[in-house]
Amino acid sequence: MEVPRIPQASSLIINSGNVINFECLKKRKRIAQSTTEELKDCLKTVLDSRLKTINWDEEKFKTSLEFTVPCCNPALSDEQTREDLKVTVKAMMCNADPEVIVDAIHRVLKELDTDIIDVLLLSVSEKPNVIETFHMDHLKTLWSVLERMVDKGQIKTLGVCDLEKPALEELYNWAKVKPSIDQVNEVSCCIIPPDLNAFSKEKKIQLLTHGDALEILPAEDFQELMKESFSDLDAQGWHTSWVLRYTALIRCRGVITRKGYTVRAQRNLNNI
Amino acid sequence: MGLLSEGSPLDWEETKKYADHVRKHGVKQFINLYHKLKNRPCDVLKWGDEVEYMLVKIDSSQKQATLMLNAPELLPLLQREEIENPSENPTAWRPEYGNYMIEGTPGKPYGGLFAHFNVVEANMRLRREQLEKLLNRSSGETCLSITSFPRLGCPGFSIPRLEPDPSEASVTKSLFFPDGAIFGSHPRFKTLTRNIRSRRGEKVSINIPVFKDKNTQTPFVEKFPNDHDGEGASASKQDHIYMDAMGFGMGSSCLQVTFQACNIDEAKFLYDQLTPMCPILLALSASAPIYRGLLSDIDCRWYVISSSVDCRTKEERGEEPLKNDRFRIPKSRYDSVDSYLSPDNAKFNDTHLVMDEQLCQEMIDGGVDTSLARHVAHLFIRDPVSLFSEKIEQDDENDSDHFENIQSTNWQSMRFKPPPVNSDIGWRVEFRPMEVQLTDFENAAFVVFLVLLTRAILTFKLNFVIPISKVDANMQESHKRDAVRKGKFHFRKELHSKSSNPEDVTAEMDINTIINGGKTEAGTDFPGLIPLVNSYIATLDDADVDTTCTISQYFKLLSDRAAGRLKTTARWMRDFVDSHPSYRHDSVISEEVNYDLIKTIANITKGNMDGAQGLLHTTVSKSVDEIPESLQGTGGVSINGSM
Repeated sequence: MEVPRIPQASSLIINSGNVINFECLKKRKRIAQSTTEELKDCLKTVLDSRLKTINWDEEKFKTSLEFTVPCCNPALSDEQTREDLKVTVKAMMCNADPEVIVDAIHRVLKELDTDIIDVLLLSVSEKPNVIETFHMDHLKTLWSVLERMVDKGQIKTLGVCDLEKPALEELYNWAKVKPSIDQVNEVSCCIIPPDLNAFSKEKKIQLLTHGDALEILPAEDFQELMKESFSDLDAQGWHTSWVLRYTALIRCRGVITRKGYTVRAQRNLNNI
Repeated sequence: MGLLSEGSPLDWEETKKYADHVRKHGVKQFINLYHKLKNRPCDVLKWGDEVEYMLVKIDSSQKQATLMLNAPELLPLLQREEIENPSENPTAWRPEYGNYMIEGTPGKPYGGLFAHFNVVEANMRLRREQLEKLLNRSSGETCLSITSFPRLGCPGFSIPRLEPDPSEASVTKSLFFPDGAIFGSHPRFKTLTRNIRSRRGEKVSINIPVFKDKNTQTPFVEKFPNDHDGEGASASKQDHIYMDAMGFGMGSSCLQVTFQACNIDEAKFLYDQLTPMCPILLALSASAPIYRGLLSDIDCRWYVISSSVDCRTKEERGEEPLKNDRFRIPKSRYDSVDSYLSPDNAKFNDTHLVMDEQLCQEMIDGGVDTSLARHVAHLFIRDPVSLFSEKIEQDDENDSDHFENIQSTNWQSMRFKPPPVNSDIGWRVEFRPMEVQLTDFENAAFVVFLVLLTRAILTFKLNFVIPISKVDANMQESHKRDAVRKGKFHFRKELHSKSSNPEDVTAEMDINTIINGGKTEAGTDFPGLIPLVNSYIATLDDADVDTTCTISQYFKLLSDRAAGRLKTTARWMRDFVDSHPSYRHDSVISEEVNYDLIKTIANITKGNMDGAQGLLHTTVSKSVDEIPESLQGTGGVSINGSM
């Protein structure tokens, strides 16, 4: 009979490290078709590498696990000065708890060994907290947290994702720190709705593109990953809390030096 | 355009006397430059394109399309803005070889912001508009960006009509190309023409295989009535289109891109990485199948130009034993590069590099690294072919004219450009092989793709280096008719390995696989250059919707051309000629066919898509003149200075 290897775990964090050089994805000759695929590849690589040397006797008592690959440290180096770099973090939140996003951002600051994020893009799941339906209040709750971080100097500018004109306008009018960016899916880059276009021009909001699915890491996909790396039993009940993607760009040269993902998954052991 | 010194040019005999002087001091100047500038701190990305236009008159009453020889009158008018408002001018203009040609560039270089890619086409459009404004539209005057004017060198190809002068009195001595078609306001071009011919000891000789159509004269032999001394008869080859002047090569247009690297090492790295791209982009941009009114069997201009400035003597070409000349030289001074610059890639330099060994040693002794010393020593096997009396004596610490003299008359597929002394311009790389396309949309597409490719290479740390001998083989392949669809090219199959055995890095691939991805002849998967660049763009969090939209349209064009879903300009021209009612399938492009072709091209250039079937889907993008305000403050640096 199959024995679960991490029966106590209810929180799992996986850091991909810096994947920009494809070093960690060498085995992949094909370019990932979607960011979801790319993310799954990164996570699988980390798990495969870490689980080779894991001590199951220690792990099986842990409630919270974290996996990182030592080789791909994404910490910003002094090859460039901090001002020359633009660090962008996209926070794809499925969990709308303010404390959770604070934790997420602190983690990425630590991962990159920096005090400031230049651009923070907030994307909120259509089904926040698993059972709820998206409402502007979810967005505003998280936005307020981010505004405080801007005040503290931890984030420079804030942006939002996939908002159409009415929602963007509502956020814009309500917010203390106005959104500078609305990042929309690249498939619509040639057919931006005129009202969104006009509003963004008026308020000097940049319309940028992304290639992410609305749910970048659905629960089933993550559980599949867990099945492959751990066991069927260990995969039960997990859902994504958040996915953070960070990049560091040398501004004036258009060269990206860092890219990585951090994912947090949670499960309620009582529900299994 | 090259070095435009002012002053009085020397004739060949005088120039030859100073050849060693120029070389010796040129190398000293290079060593000084190198030490002054090798540790320049990191420079930002700045880049620019150069488009060459031809001035054309389309006379609908006569049904004639001719080249207008009035560039010298138009240039000062175009340059007024630059002179009166330097650093505010959005466009800049330079003379080119032909009196019918003008080169346009952006007034200021583009920068490293993603949004700059959306400005390129609009700037190209502006250049065209500025030039058109000076032309008389109602009498059929216009400017076109075509690589080769089909009836260049045919009787009556120009307006005013000029007769070629094959006697010694003329600069070209050509049976076809009149001196009056060479740019006259600056002595450089005529000086080069005469000196190249004098050095060579005979006229330049360009023989391009003629396209054998159903009714083409076979064997194909032409009689030249004005060939009084028989030089044409002996130099021309059967079944070839014979041309005998620099103008046939340098009088054709191209599309060039120059960009500034962040330091000397990155410049060498990019020079090396783009070297294998030269034949690929040459094949993809192919647009020159017609020469001197005849349909040829090649689709690109490269070897026409190569032969048109080939100053090598018989001895240097290996046709006679070496007696007066120092070296056997396998290539013309216009041809593809012969060595990589990064020390890491030295093992891929698998061809014999002809060098001035003494100058090479002098540079190495002077502290220049071996690969770079060898590269410069190879350039310096050439004599200067244009020298101005005022520039002979120089201060090697502060001048660089002698270095630039030899550097700018080595016309290679890539050029490694040291910074000028006392400027804030950095180490630059120039990409030179692309053929110019008919529309601004297409030219912008090629240029934007190339620069984005360099960003992807730097970001993902890719490696495309293959043995130089294979790049040379690819250059030959890229000329062939329909090389895009039928050619097989050596290309690197494994892009992420740093150092490897030169023996097994390549696989044969067609252009479609290289550009779009697919299986190589070796059975491996190749990701494709466009998917790689798209992967880079997807990773950028800076990509705004309009620029992304524009780029997606550019890439659709390039992707379709690579896959054969759209024709190259060369193929489109061949099909146009082939289906023209008065074409006799004898490879001859009559005045009438020429007129209709040029007229159709002029319409397509203006956005009229009739007749562009199979060539283009659209020429409409989201390109704009200025970066939108909201994107300006996102971390780009303000642009100053020229390239």
